Amino acid sequence: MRQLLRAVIFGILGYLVGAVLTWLVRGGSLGDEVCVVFGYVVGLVGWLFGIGMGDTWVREWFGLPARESEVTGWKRYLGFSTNHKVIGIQYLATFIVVLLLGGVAAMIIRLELAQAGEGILNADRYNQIMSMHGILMVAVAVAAILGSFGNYLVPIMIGADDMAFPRLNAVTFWLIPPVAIGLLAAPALGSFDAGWTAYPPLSVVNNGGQILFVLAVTTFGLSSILGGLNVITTIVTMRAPGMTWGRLPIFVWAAFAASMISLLTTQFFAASLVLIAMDRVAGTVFFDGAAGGDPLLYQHLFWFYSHPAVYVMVLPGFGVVLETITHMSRKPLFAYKAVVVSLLTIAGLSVIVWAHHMFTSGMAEYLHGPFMFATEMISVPTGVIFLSAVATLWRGRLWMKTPLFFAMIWIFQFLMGGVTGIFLADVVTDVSLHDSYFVVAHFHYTIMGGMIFAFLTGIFFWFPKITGRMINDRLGIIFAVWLTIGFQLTFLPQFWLGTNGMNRRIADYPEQLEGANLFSSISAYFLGGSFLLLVYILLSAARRGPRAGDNPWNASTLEWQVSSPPPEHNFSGQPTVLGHPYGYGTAGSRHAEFAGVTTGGPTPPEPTGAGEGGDNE
Amino acid sequence: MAMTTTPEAVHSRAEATYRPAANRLGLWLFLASETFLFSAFISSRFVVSGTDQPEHLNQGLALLLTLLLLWSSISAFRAEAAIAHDNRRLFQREMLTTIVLGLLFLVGVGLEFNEALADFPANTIYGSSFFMLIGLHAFHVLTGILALGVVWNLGRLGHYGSDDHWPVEGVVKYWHFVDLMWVAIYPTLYLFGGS
Amino acid sequence: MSDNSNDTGGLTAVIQRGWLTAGALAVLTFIEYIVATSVDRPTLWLLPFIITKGGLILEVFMHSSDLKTLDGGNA
Repeated sequence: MRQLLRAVIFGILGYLVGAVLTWLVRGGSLGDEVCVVFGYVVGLVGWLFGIGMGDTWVREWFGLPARESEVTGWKRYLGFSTNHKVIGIQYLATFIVVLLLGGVAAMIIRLELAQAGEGILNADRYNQIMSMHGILMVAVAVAAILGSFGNYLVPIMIGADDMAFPRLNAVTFWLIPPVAIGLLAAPALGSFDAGWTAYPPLSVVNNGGQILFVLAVTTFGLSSILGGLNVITTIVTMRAPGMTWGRLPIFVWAAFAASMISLLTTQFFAASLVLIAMDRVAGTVFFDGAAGGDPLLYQHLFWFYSHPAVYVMVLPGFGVVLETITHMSRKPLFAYKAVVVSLLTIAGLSVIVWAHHMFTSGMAEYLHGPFMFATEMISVPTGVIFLSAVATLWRGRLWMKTPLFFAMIWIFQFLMGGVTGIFLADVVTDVSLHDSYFVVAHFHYTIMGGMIFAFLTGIFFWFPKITGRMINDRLGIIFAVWLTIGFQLTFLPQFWLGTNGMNRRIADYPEQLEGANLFSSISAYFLGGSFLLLVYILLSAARRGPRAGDNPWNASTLEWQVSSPPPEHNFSGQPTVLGHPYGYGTAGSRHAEFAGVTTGGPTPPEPTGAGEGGDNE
Repeated sequence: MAMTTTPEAVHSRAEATYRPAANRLGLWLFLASETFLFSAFISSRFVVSGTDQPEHLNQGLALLLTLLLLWSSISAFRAEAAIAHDNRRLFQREMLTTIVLGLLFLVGVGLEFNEALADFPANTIYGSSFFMLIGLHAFHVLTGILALGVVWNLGRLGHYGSDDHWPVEGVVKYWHFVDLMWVAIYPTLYLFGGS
Repeated sequence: MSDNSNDTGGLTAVIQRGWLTAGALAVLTFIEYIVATSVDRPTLWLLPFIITKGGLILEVFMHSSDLKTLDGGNA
């Protein structure tokens, strides 16, 4: 608490110092964008110094001993904790809140779109809300799984006691609040209305809120780069004895592949936003066609990150879903090696497909073919992962609890997203469908279907491990069904709307599309309502859910072999990995044993209902 | 495997075993990521203005800057080699040399900017790329100097020895990386345009 | 974690290698400059210089062979 208060004060002071000094040097007004930029940068430094870097790194830089904080209990979650489990929960809580905020923006959007013409919002306001919804949800999609489960589970799954760089990990999380503050403060400077993609020339000439968008999102990029770096280093250097690459749980592989992408390509997003900022405040002309610049440059730089970012979103989702499916259908993961190769192939291919977002942008014609081909190539490894999920379920002993329910719904959602994606990857059809509601429906199926549903799968699967309590399974399944039905009713009509000429990102539409839009809006509220049930389920389970025990799912991977929640340093004895993580149905298969623990390692058991959490089908 | 390992013992053993490998890998990954940042800006230069370059480029100053960086590389290299062989005096001296050369480089960049502002201001397309790339590089030089300063000061206070000098290794590697980026930036802005 | 040659003779040898590399870099830069100012469209001519210089810095100055073992191997 003390740290947080100090961080806020230093952040505000830093902002004032930066802004006022710039103003003194340069004149003009204090609200000028240059002042905002320098204020933000100094404020960010002040914030990081206050939250804990000042106590640790900065003191060591001057040869002083670091002051580690000794807070316990719930206050740990509001301070500079270096424990990966605390950071995982910080991420989880933060991004559930951001998800709900983004959801509120979505509700406002659907309210406006319920009728043709200007409804509750004028066109400007609509663009601002739509941009806010976009960037908040993209932030959730990029960081929610990797930040929360990546942090919480990867070290435990590989038998390590923490991430490779615990302090860096804390900094990575504490870079997030300034992002949220920056984005939510944007209305003070006139909001941003260029969508989450922030294409110039609009994003160079619009209201001052855009500069806060640029600063905040660049900060977010920094956080995701550092997070990726940490995850990769952890996986490479901190695996327990015997944890060979071929024995890594699939979620770890997925986190590894996604981290590779976010480590490297995020720099391009940062670069594109820095160029926007330079064009706005320093008078450069990168995106000014009249002065010799090129607005398309932005789109190339931007999509060089933002298409791979889709895989930063869904690869961890693949990991979560495959993990859940293999444990809950009591079968080894089908084609483990092929899945690993596919994850890495997707990571590799993801950087050579970006221009499929630009088929109608006027870029060079000869780029169309190669980018279409590369994009369609990517469906091959994706298909392998998909088949692995289905084949793992095939003739398994399915344990139909909420997590598996969600995982199976995920398969359907992602199938829908994938199949409709083919039309967008194909130049001929994309030319007609580009920037229509077809695209909106498509990426909601892939990102919400592929990522949010996987996130929910993960929440329901690991909730007992993280909190030590079981979720009410009946309510969980009601939520899953409610959400799924709401989702289909909301987004299926949008495919139709898109093919019938409704443009995305525009507050108004032709009157003959009103019926389907009204239907979609009503369904959207039905969909949004289900999240209230989610909040209730999570809060009530965290407070009064029945005790989960160490291993309610009888699962074999390392995180289930420790108490729930896991002890401070994860393992009481050094784990040694002996075999494949998913030895279900194989006699004598053991994943790991622990030094100093007399009970020996876990044998992947048949589902006998022994876990307090439940009975099997 | 001892049967009585406490969590704390496991924890501290993990720290001791993994630290150097983790630090090295972490720094390499960071540098790989930075390479992407630099390549984004370098490729932007080619996208917006090809290899065009203005007539009035101070080639002499650019060569001098290159030489300064090269000189600072060798002094940084000597500093690292010295501490790895427990030669503290040489280490301290070479660190200081590197810092001074870095500062001289920044002064050179200042002169270069001053001249460039008159010939091709930021609102020309070459000027945009020029200020962006040189500015980004100079920013990295500046952070490098700060980091070198921290390590130099800690060395003065008696830290580091032949088997315990990761921060020296790290900061020197970063310094060489900044030099490496200059190897690409220098021809991008000064040479590709030809005679 | 330096494992090799802890005597002062080792230090001289290492530093000599550094100087040789720096000398090579200086010579390469000079030739690079000459080529650039005498050829009309020098981009392709310059690439080998950039790659060689980058390789030298990575290998000698940055100890890129670290990556193989992630352990030992500096100076």
